[in-house]
Amino acid sequence: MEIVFKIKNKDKKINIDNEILTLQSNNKSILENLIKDYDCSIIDNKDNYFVSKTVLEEINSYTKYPELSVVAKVMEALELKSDFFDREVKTLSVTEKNYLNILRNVAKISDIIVFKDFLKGLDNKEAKKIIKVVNRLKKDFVIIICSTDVNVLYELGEKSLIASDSMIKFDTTDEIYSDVPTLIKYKLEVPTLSYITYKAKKEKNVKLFYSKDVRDIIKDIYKHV
Amino acid sequence: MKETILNVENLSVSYDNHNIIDDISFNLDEKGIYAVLCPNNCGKTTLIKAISGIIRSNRGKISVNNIILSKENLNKYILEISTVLEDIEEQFITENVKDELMFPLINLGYSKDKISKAIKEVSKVVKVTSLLDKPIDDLTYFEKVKVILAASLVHKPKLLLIDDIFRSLDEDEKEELHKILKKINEELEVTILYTTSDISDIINLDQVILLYEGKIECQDSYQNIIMRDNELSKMGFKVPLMIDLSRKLQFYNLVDKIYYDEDEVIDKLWK
Repeated sequence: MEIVFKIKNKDKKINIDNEILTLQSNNKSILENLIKDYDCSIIDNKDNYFVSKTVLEEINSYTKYPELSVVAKVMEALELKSDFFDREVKTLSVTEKNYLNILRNVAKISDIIVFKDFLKGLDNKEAKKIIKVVNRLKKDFVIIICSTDVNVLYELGEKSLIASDSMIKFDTTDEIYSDVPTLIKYKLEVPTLSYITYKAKKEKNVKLFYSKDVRDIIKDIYKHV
Repeated sequence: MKETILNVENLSVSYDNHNIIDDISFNLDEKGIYAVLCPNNCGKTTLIKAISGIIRSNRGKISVNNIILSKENLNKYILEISTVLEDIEEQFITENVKDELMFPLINLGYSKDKISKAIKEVSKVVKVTSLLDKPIDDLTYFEKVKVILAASLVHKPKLLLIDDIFRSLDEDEKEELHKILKKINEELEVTILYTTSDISDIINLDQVILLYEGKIECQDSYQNIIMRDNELSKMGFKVPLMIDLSRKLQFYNLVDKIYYDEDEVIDKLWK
């Protein structure tokens, strides 16, 4: 699916097709402006208010005609069995409530699914499950990951929007997160691994390569110490 | 010598014949800040609810300030503790901040003067004084967290139990919340036990209980816990980037301690 975003203050359009768009911003109106012309589901882990007795009733309360194939796909990624539908909402753990929040949102027919700060507070095992959900959904929906955690955005993003002072400053690829001088110039946060690589290169004349994986950096450091 | 504020002995809690908490025992001394570090879905909330008396245990004994949790003692027991659960929105009883703080005290039969004094003191420590006249619906999520914390403290419990309220906060809010918890601990002399699945939330704590699959793996300082980075990764924890990097550099004998600052580690590696 292809979606064209119009970015007001940049007078430019971005095409998104089966890619993950990351938005580094905590400004609500930037996201709202970006998605206003589309049907959109927003998955926010703060949104855990439920109105129904069971999981299935909650999903049905969100949409009359749930997209069952998408729900099944997400349930598989979350390692949930069909008996989850019959569980009473009040018996769910906080993690399971987050799963239900994802399920009720993906059950709606939408063009775009936004994950807001979706890895916050999750351990590695849970984070991997949610990343699996994102990767499965990106074939059918445009996915926007909205976060202020640059390390997460650097690791996951393919196309990147970076906002600051209520405006989108950059629309680019994830390469922006290794362009440290530019990030510093615009007072934007620098991912930890990019910062270490940049400082080692600039101040210590060490030939490190930019990498998203700490193990690659370690190998590189070991060679150059 | 410090007194024991919380004593948990051979506690087990199960749902549908599955042990969520499996025969755990631990003690906490009064006036400290403690954390239970536990992966998602491994028993954090169940433990907090069992200690606070919200759910029944299948086995074991819990006492707070030497009062044993039992049917007979319940009224005395619940005055010693306060519990803040993760579902912040579901914990509000009234529609505005002042009423929320007054509610527990009115129920306890406090006089007007006493109520006013208690609210003033706690509001200052938890930094909600400027919110007192606001409706709950007008508050941001973080302000709601602070109001619920304040409401749980007005009757001066000895022990505050907090179930993973950090996970929905951003980094700045987390930092502020840790400062507020420190103030609560020091100025109101309340012992705090909070749960988290994020290793960065335990930094600087002297005592952390590592809970995994319902059992206690260890009770130790954060320094010693983070040295078990391989085990923590296997349990499913995300090891914070600088700790992960430092531990891997330590493995190759390139550094000799954990570095939290990028510039310091660069200077250490390439003097």
